[in-house]
Amino acid sequence: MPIIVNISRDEFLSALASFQNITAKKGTIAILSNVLLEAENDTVQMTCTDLEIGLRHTIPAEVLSPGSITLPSKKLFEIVREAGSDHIHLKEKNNSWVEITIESGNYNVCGMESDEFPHFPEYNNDQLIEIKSSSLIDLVDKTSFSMANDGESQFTLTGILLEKHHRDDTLFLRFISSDGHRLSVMQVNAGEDINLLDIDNRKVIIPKKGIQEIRKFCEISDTISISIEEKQAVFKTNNSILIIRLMNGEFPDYQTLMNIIDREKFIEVNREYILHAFKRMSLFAEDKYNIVQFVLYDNKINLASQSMDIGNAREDISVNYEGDEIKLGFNGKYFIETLSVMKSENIKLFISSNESPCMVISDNDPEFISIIMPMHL
Amino acid sequence: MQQDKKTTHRAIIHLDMDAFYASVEVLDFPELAGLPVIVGGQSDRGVVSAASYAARECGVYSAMSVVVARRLCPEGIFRPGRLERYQEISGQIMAIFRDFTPLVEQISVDEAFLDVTGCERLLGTTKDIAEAIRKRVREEIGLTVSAGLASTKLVAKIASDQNKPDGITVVPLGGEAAFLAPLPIKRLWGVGKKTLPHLELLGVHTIGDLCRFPLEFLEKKFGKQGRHMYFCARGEDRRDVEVVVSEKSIGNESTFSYDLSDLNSIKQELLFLTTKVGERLRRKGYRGSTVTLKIKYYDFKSITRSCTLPQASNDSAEIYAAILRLLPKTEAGKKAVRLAGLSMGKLRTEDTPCQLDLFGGAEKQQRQHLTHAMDEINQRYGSLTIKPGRLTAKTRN
Repeated sequence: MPIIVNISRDEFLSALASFQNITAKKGTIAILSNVLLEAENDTVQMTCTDLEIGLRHTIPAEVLSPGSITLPSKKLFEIVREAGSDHIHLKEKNNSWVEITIESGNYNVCGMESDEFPHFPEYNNDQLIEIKSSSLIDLVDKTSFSMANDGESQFTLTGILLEKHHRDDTLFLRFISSDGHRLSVMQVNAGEDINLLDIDNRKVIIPKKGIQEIRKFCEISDTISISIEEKQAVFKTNNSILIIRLMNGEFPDYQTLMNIIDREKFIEVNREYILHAFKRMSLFAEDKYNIVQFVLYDNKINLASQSMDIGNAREDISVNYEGDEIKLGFNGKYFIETLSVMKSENIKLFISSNESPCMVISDNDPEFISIIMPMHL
Repeated sequence: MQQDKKTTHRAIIHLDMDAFYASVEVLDFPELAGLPVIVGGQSDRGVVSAASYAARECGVYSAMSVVVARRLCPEGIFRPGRLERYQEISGQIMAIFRDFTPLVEQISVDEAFLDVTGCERLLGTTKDIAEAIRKRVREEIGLTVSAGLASTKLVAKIASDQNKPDGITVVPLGGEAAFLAPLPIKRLWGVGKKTLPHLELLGVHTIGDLCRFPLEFLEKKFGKQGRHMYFCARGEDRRDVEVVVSEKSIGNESTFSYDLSDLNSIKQELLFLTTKVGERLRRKGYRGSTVTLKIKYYDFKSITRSCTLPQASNDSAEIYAAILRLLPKTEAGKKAVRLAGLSMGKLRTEDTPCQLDLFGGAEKQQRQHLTHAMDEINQRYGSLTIKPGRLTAKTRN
C-alpha cells in the first residue's frame, strides 16, 4: 500500500537532523543515504544506518495509509528545515515517487523501495540497564577528545574502551581513550545495575563515530537504557534506539602505565591560570606538535614557546617545588584539552622526569585521570 | 636583530665550480681536455646537464635538449652523467671549504656560500681567503672554481658569475649597487620570463634602470615580488648563510634485470631497498614522515603511492610496514614490474622535538638499540653485512 501520512514538522525535523551524520557517509550502497519511513498505528518509524551505526526514532503521526518507503535523507532534511508550516504531508505515488505537501507548496522526491533497506539489527530487551544521561555525557566528554584520529595510531585507539572498575564497595563504569600519546580515564558511579553489563573479560571498544552519536543521543532523555551485546552496543529510550557495532581488537595495557606513575611527588597549580598560560603559549607554538617548553625549578614553572615566523613567548607560574630542575616539552593542545574538561579550581601535576608520563588529576574531578606523555626536546 | 645584521657587515664568498660535470669528465678522462664535452644522457630524450667551455662556444648551455645541442655542436662529445662520481668530488670540495669556516651553505652539488666574517685576522683579507680556497681546490682536486666576494649572498652569487671560468670578482662594501647597475636586468634573482617583458615595457634593461623606480610603484605593480626586486637591485639581502640545508627526500630505486610478476620477489626487492634507505636516513641523522612507493610496470607506466606515518621515522621495519600497506594500492603482482623504488620525504633531523609514545616505548627503545648495533656493524664491515633474513638469499646487486 502506498504510504500517506501527516507528520508534525518539528518532530520530523529533529529526527532527520539526528540522521545527517550517519547518512552523509559516501559509500557504494546508494540506499544508505536514504532514511527509511515506516507508517502504521499512528506512528512513523524512521531509520537510518551506515551499517556500523543504526539509529531509529518512532514519532507520532496521522497515518492515512500505512506503508513504507525510503527517501534521500539530506534532501528531505533540507525541505523540512525550510518548511514554514506545522505539518508535513507525505504521499507515495507511482515508482517510489513521493509528493511532499507543505502548505501550498508541492515537492516531488524520488525515493527507493523499502525492501532494499538493510535490516535493523536485532537486540535483546532483557539485558538493558538504566543509566543517567548526565553520567554518560560526563564519560563521553571527559574522554572523547583524546581518541586517536584515523591513521594516526593503532586502529583500536580510534575508539573508547569500556570497563567496570571496583573501588572499595563501589562499582564504576569506566571509559578509557588514548591516541598513543595521552590517555584519559573517566569513571562514574552509575548504580549497581552496571554489574549486569556484559563487558567483563573482553575488550569492549566503541568506535569514534558511535561515541559522537551517543553524545547526541544523550540529549533525548534524562535516562537511557544500555546494554552491551556480543557484537554491538545498544542505547535506548522510549521512542529511540541507537545500535553501534563494536570494534574488534586489542586495547593497549593502560593499567600498567597508570601503576608506574610516582604518586608521591606532585605540584599543585590553579587550573584556570595554567590553562590560559598554555593557551597563550600556543599562540607562538610551532607546527602540528604545538611544542610548549615546560621547565620546573625553584618554586616555578617556566613555560615557553617559539615560532620561526612569529616570535616567542615566556611565562612564569609560581608553584611549590623544590626538587631538581626538570625540563620537558609538551604538546600544548593536550594540556588545553584536558584542563578544559576539568572543573576544579586547582589541579595536581605529577611529573617525575622528562621521559616519563605526566599525570593530571584534581580533587573536584575525583574520577578523572589524564596522562600526557612529554616530547623529546 | 635585523638592525644588527645591517650594521655588522658580513664577508660572504660564493664559490661556483666551473662547468662542474664536464670538468669532472675531463679530470677523469684527460684526453677530453679542450674538447666540447657535453654531459647529459646519450639518448635524444634527455637534456644537457653541463657543457664544457668549448661546447658553450657553440651555444650549448645546460637545460637545452640534447637534440638541439647535437645540432649546434655536431662534434660534441656526449657523456652520460656519473652522478655518484660528481657527488664524491663535490664532497671533497665542500670539505676543503669547511676547512676555512664552518659556515658553509651548500646550495647545490657545485656551489656554496661561505661566511668568513671575522676570519680576517686569522686568515687574511676575504680576497686572500678566496684565493687560498681556489688554490687548494685547483691543487688537490684539479678543478677550477670561480669566486664572488661581497657583503650579501645575492651580490656574491652574481659576482662569482662575472669572471668565469677560474675568476674572482670582489665587490667592495658600499659598491654593491654600483656593481649591479650595469648588469642586464635578467641577472637579478626573481626576474624570469614572466616579469622580463613587463620590465622591458617600463624601459628597464639593466639593474640600474630598476633602481630609478620607487618602492611603492614596484610594490603596486608587482606585489611582493616588486618589493623583493627593489631591495635586490640595491644589493640588499639580509639572508644569512645557513649551514644546514636540509635534504628534501632520501630514496632508492632499482630497475630489475628482468620484469617481476611474483609479488614475493617484489616484496623482497622492496625490503632490500627499505633496508638501504633506513640505513641512509640513520647515517645522515634524519627521520622522514612521508613514505612514497614508486612502481614502474613493464609498459613503462609508472605510478606512485604515498602515505604519512603517524610519527617521523627512520626505522626500516616501520618503513617497510608502510610500504606493505601501500603495495596493494598498486597493480604489482598482476602486472609485471620493471622498477620499484621508495623514498622518504618531509625529513626532519633527529634532534627535532618528537612526541614520546605512551605505549610500547620500551620495545621501541630496544629495537632502536638493536638497529644502532646493526648499523655499527654494517658501517665497519660493509653495508648489509647484517640484514633481514629474507635478504640472505639475495646477493648484492
